[in-house]
Amino acid sequence: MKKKCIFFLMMILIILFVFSQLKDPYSINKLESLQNVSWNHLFGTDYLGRDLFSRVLYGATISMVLASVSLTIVVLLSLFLGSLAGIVGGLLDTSIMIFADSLVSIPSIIIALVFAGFFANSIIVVLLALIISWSGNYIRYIRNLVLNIKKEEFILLAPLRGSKGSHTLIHHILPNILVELFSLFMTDLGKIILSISGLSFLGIGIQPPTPELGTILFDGKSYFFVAPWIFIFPGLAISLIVLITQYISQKITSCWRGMDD
Amino acid sequence: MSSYFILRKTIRLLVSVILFSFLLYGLLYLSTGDPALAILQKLGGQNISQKMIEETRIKLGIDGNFFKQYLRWLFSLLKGDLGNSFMTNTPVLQVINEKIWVTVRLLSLSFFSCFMLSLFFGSIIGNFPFLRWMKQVLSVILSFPIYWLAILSIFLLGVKLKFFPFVGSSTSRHLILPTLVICLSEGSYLTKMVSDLILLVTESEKQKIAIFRGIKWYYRFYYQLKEVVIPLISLYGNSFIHLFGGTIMIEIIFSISGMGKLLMEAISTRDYPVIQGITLLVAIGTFLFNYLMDIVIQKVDSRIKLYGESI
Repeated sequence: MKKKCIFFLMMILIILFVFSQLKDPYSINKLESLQNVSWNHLFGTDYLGRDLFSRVLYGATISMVLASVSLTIVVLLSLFLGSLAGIVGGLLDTSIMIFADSLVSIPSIIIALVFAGFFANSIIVVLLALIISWSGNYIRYIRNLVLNIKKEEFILLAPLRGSKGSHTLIHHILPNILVELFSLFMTDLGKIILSISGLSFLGIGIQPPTPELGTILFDGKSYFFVAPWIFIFPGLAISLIVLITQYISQKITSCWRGMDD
Repeated sequence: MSSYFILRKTIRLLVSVILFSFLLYGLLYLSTGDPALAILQKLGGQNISQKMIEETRIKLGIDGNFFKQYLRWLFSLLKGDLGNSFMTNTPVLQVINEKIWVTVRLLSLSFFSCFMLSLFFGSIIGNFPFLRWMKQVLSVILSFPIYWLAILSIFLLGVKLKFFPFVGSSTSRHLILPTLVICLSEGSYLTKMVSDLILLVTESEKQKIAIFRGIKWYYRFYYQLKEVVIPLISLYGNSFIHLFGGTIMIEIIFSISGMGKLLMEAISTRDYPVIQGITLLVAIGTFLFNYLMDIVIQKVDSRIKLYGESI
């Protein structure tokens, strides 16, 4: 209990410290351009004198929000299609699976590039492309989960309790696949952040003035020898986010396994 | 049974290719801007009348309703005609043919080195429990984006230490650094997966007894691989497809003039036929690859009914 209190206090202190260091990520101050790491600027400044620490923090938040929104849409979409395929079966199942297979087989970066080429080069279009290309994988995964759980006795016997069709799906099947889905969700959150920032690094999606980890890296790469911190810190931030999401996903899985035993 | 399986898979392949071409054409149809108008403006037409636009549309083959256009496009596709590039006015197939071999070289080189490295290190990590910590290192490497690693290696190995050249693809020395970066990112993923697979096998009783009986390590290794050959085939197949996406990024960063760079340029100039051609080619390539992979897996172990679906 005491440990938890100290941990909690530490967290509050760290959060307060972070907020006290936060500055406007857009404010330009040419006098302070390319400054090294200091107390005033924790991660240094970039060539326009913008504070890198707050830019990285804002960028990470933007990436996280975009990634979780798009991934939630992916999950909802494929929950619908995947459970439809798993429960109804037959020709519908086959056609949904062919559709999902064709989505899976094209690398998502190519779909995003094609969308940006055919429509506008905006973040909405890129997110749409990512949603489309990621849902194939999820449809397949959810369908297999539903098929597996359909063999369990409590689902086979559900009609005897008067639970049919959508009622079985919502009350018996979904709660049981939700944890596995959530653990996959957390791992893929990191991966989708990697691909969003990769695309914005190429200039597709989020455009430069907005602080995003990919655009900051793109700005920083021309100043590698003058100011390596512009390049190094955003990369470390991305890596940290990916590692944390993976760790949480592992924890969820092991917790779930522990509950089963 | 087996011929039935192949027939099923072939139908699936054809359906996916047709579905994909339909979706691709539909996307182009929905996209913003009229190609006819754009071409007329590019040719420097001042007073563009409705009649001129109609004529250009007939010339480009985009008159009539959507299905008519699509079918016409599909038939010319079957004849091997992907249309002409808007920018250079040369056939798309020729444009792609000039660039594709660079990409194929990079792709095959990096895939081959990833394959060898991951098999080697994966089996070592899997067989020796005290090397388990290497997997944590691999996950940390994996968490960095591939373009970050690429630029770091350019600056450290290319600019600072001057070990390797890093712009373009004129000599084979230019391909060393891109291959290295791909090995670092994709190779460490593969190593991790292979070591997981091997670890599961080495914990089986058969392998433990083999150690006690003093069976030579290379025999043991052979039988370990034999047990995991099916997951390995699908792992390497999927990673080959995944490499397609990775090489695009690498080509742009190292300015290797391959397919990825061509696609990027086509996107910035809105050269629709080129975008269509490249995407279609990549898609057909991956579909064919998946098809071959399924057949190989089935040949290796005929007990497997892939996905157990009903086509």
